[in-house]
Amino acid sequence: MSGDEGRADEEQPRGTSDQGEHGAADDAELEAQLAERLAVPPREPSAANVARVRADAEARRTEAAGTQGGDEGPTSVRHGRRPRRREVLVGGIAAGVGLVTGAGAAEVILGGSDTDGDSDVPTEPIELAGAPEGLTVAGHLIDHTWGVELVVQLDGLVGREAYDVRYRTTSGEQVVAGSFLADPELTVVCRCTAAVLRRDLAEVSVEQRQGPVRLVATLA
Amino acid sequence: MAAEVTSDGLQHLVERATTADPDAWEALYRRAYPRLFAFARRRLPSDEQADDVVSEAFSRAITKVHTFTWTGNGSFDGWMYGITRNVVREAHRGVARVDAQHLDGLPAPEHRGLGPAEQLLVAEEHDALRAAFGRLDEEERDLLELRVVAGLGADTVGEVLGKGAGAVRMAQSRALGRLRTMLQEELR
Repeated sequence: MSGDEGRADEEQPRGTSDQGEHGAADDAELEAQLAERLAVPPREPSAANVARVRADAEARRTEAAGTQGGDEGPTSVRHGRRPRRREVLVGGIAAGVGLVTGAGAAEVILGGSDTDGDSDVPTEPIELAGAPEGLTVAGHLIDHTWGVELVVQLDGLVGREAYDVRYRTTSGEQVVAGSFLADPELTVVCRCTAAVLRRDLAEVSVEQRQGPVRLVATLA
Repeated sequence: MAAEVTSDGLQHLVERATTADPDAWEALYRRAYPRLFAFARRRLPSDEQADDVVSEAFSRAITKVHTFTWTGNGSFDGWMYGITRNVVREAHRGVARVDAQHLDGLPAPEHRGLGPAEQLLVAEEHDALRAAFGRLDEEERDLLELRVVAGLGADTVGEVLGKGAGAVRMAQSRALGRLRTMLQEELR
């Protein structure tokens, strides 16, 4: 993001603050001190989040393709409901929640395919145990070079509660991979990533933040 | 660091992004990340939270880009700052305060060539400036950051804050005056 366009737009004299005796030079000096004090060391985006941005764009492109071509229109994954995209940020942790349309995509989400959508990325179906009656869950993992992505579909969530997706490593460390808000009217598809390598991943859980629901997949 | 993008290049990238082109979104993300990360980091206690906020902001931008209208180079930057600001607020559950502790977590600028006494004096002045800045209200802090640190134009900042460009300049002047007064109080 360039600041070039910014400071060239000054149309009135600087230093017209309420402290009338301070001129433009004083304002400029204070601004320079402020810029120096507020500086943050430069940083590159993490590979995981770059991948997430790309994945979100891909999901959006898939969604747009699924809603074009008229006669079929969007097809709900289950129970005839019209799926909607839900993005949430809960407790400062972001999750990517995607829209799934079409039988092919549904097959992928339900773990019926060894690949993720149209790509050749291999997937690993997992069994998230502990679902209460009325809740169906399907999930799979995608093993990236930089971490693991969980794609999980939940149907029949009760209430509008917050859920956290956690990874537990073989060394016992817990990492929150994402969060989402449930919606009983929707099929929720959540894609969460964390920079934990597959070989270090011991357990995946989806936990209701203030409730009893805890879905756990213990991994080999 | 991400390669510089020309003004024409940025508009072209944004046009491609409206088609959900992953390459375009990655380029936009890499370009915007350093400044948006800095904006978020000053409001959040960790690099990881700031990192997640920026990626969440882009996730939202991807779904909302059809609502964006290009009105010049600064328009997309301002739009992204606005989304990021909202995400930070949600991360704080509606309260986005630049706590002194968050700025404490950032390294102080180095001043090579100064003696120990001078370095101490400079450090005290920086601490006083940080404290004075923290005493400004949220909009004043956002305005000064966007204008002074991010270098955005008054029109762009106005879009983020919901003001006209003239009102932004006047508010900036008033905020600097208040900051100067508080800084003098902190240094007493």
